[in-house]
Amino acid sequence: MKGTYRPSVALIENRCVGCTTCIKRCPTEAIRVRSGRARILSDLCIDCGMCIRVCRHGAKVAVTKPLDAILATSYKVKVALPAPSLYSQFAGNRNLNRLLTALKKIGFDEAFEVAKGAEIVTAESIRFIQRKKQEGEEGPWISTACPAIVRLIQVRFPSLIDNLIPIIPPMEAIARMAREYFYRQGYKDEEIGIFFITPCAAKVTDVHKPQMVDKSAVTSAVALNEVYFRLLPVLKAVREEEIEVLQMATNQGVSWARIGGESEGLLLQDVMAVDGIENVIEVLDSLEDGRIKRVEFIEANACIGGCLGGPLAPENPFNAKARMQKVMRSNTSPQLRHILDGIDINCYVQKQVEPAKVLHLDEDMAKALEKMKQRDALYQSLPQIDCGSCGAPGCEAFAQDVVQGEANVEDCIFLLRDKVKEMAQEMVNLAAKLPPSIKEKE
Amino acid sequence: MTFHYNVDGGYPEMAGRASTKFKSVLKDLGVAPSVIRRVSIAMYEGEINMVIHANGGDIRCEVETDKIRVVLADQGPGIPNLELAMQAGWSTASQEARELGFGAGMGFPNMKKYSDALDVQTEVGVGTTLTLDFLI
Repeated sequence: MKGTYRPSVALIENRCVGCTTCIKRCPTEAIRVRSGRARILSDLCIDCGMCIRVCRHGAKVAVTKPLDAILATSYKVKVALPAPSLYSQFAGNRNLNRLLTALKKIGFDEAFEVAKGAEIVTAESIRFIQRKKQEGEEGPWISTACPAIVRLIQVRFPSLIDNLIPIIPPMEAIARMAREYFYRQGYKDEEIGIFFITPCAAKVTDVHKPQMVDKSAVTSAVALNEVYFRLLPVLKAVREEEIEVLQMATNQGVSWARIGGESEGLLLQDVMAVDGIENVIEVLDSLEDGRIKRVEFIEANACIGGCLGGPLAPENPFNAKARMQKVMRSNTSPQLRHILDGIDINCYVQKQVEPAKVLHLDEDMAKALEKMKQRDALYQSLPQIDCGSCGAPGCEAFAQDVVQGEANVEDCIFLLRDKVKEMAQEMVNLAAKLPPSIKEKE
Repeated sequence: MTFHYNVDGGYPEMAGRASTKFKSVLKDLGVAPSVIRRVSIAMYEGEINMVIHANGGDIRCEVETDKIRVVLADQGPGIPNLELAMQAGWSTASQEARELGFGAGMGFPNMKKYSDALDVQTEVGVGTTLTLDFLI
């Protein structure tokens, strides 16, 4: 299992000063400072984007496809898939058709809303949960819409993998529908380019290395903030008479942009919606211990506020949430475009999410126990103040790194100082030992 | 390898910390997820019981290559009628504890269900010791 995950969060080496900000905030302790740079341990990274958010030097970034590179591709048809979180970013605009028209103006041939895919996923999820209930399975089912959470479960909560609802995320659903739509128009697969406008790094990874399908129907992902700045002037310049009816989704799908939107759409009695990676970890811990009872569905988003709070969304999540309310209030009875009606896709996952075995001290239980004894003994000798000077996020992680051969005991400046002190004392002692010739003289 | 946890009954909001800590130990050791889940649920129930009935106690967890043993020992009031306590839905929880969401009467039934063996030693006025075994 080791080495198979390639995160979309990357380090810009020359911007990193090797401080401890990101290593401290990473929820899976997946960063170590080595040679003055904060390096990501791919096997532990869940692509949540916390480091992108907290780095004061802009050294952590999401690897996306530049917009101009996308627009320069030779696909016969280029389809933009705007995440609904995009709608919450513009102060002045509540007209979604204007926004979708502007997307075509910047160079895309089509704009298909991911919110439409969300509605398809909701309908399928309702059917799935109902069927399982009849079979006596109560769940709780956990949403697969946030790939950082799926990855978190793989890395830290493998016992909850069976709780993941086996339904593809909205991005994948709408991309499949888009492909199907263009096949019917006579296009070949290789002539269709489908580009997701992403609010986060996790979804980029979900495009390039999907966890639940063999190959994503999305071609590549472009950063929401990049599209945002390109759209701003164009959006203002769109004249009323130019606005096309491009909207396909109602508020039900649009509401997925914020936390709560997905679970409300399921029309169930007992749902839970949790946002913010630390909060999600707390909830999953409780779920694992059997402390969460009588909940049918858990919507969990890594980002505060949901996708509209993604690390690539320029607006702060609370402002975005307030704007989203305005957008939704002006969008209660939209005129819809029905070109995807009648296109049925399979919404079920193609492969089982696998547990990541990265946390294990050793594959062999006896050896793992031995290493744990060493780790605990070493931890007892450490200052336990989690200063981060060794490059690990805390003393526990450092002790584990040493036991795993990834760090040296002397990397702890406190232990090093003790050792220096010891050696200095030894030197003093040695200096006091005089040769007999001098001793006699005295 | 043995792990000790002290459960302070004076802080009900801290209840569950020992289970969470031990769970992370088991994950580091690479114990199968299904076993971890059983241990977590059963140990959590035991830990909560200690807080509710005995004002806390001590938990000793022993991990071997093929077995996990969790021993929860308290010096609480003891269980007067063990047979009754083992029944699903039977509960002595105070109103305060119930308000915190405890006391559904599934403590013992769950501990029995999720462990491979459960031994209860109890004496009224002296205390209770539960020994839960899990096969890896």
